[in-house]
Amino acid sequence: MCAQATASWQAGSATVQSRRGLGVRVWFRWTHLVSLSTVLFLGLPILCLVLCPTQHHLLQAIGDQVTKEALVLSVFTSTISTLIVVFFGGVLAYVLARHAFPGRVLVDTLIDLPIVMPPMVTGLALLMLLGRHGVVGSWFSEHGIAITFTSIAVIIAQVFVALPFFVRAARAGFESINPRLEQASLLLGASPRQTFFRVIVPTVWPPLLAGAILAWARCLGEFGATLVFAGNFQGMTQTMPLAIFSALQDNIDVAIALSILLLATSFVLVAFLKIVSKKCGAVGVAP
Amino acid sequence: MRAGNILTIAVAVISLSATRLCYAEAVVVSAASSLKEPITKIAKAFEQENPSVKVSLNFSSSAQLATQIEQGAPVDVFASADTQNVERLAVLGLVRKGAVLARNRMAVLVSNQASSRVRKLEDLGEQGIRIILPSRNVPAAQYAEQVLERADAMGLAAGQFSARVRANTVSREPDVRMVAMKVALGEGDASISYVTDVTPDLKPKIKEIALPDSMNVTANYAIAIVGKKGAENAFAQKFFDYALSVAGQKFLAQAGFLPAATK
Repeated sequence: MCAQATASWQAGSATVQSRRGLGVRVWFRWTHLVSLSTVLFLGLPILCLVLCPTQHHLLQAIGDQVTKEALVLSVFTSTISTLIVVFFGGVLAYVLARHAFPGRVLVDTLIDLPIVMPPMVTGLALLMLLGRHGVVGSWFSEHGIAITFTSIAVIIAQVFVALPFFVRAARAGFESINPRLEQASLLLGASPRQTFFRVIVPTVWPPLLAGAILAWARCLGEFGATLVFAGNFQGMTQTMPLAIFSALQDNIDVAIALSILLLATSFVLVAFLKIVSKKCGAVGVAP
Repeated sequence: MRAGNILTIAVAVISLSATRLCYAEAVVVSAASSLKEPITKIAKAFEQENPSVKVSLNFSSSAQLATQIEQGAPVDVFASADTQNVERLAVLGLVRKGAVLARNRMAVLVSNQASSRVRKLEDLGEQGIRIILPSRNVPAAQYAEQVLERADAMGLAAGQFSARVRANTVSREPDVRMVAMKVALGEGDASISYVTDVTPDLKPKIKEIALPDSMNVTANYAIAIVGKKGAENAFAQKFFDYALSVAGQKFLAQAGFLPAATK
């Protein structure tokens, strides 16, 4: 395979070379160099983190109660948050893709806002709305419902920051379907619900899944908004990123061990989802 | 080399070197969050007396600052809310010279909304009181622990006080300022924190309940010159001396700190 690649590269560059001279051959090498640097820039820090000599701490950290609670909380909350995001975000994306309405540009901008907002600002905003003395939160606290300092707050924060990622991907997916396909399905007697689940979803599930994975990853890594809005308490609101932050102030080796654990968990789950999506693609879900 | 390329490189070089030309000397100070107001004022006064020097300030919990220094942060002077963090760095050979900067006392901080429910220390053990404390490695959290232990020893709530307070704790914030923020917002009802954390802007929102002397703890703040960089920086030494001088101590007293103990 290497020989083939080299041969075609040489052939390609030779052809161009004969037309434009030496300058273009240099251009090819330059792009390879830039690409390689970029990949190294992304890969080397992760490699250094993983290869850091903290095996001893890694095993200790895995068994520690703090770690277990943080990991369980992280996976639990990010899964629920992703499901919420997929439902609400999916519906919103569909409406945005299909219906034009006044103020649509505003809604567009609003959806992208959480990406631009620093997470701590998000946390503060949520605090102002849903905090104990917040605009809406005060009603909840009067009726004895606690939001801040509970896992519910963690989920709310995660949903807020992850929504734009899914909505963007889902909207692009829905927009890529020819509306005539849906019209045909409805004309042929299928209900809107049947149309959605048997015509639309089988066609656009790849971008939906990709968006869901992205949203789920964002949920897992959420830190700033969680810290400010939900607080930091073991078992209730201390997700893995918060646990890592606490460990960082104490013992950097433990922090590294926890980081590797989080990285490994994310990697396994993303890889699993990708394998599942490949399998579904191979079988062909579309009827 | 084309003229455009040369010009770009020249501009880059000049702007990079210009950042160094602005100030002849810089002093990098890492200080505990609870020292924010007095150290900022000390730095300003110091800069006025030494116009060629720029003091860069970095505030966080003492534990985090010490970890940063361990990891090689280019700090000249470190002001910690306890002596342990400075000692921990001294053992590693990272600090050269240390002294007690000031002292502080603890108190119960109560949000306005909860002031009717929390009137004395014992009320912190009541059902439904939400207590916010700093993370366990933050000096203030350790002082709070000591207060709780002393309260138990004195028989408060039949020796169950610390257990009740721990049960009422809802969050462990990264530093004392975030603790004060949450109490001021009313998210948390109360905290055991520094007397000095009720800064002028927070006074309308936080009530302070004094602790009985028998249960209170004295926090010893330490200041130290960090590493070779700090030792070689003449202005770092000057800042160190200034903070310990009458002028510097005045700012600390204004903020509510007790003077460093005279031996």
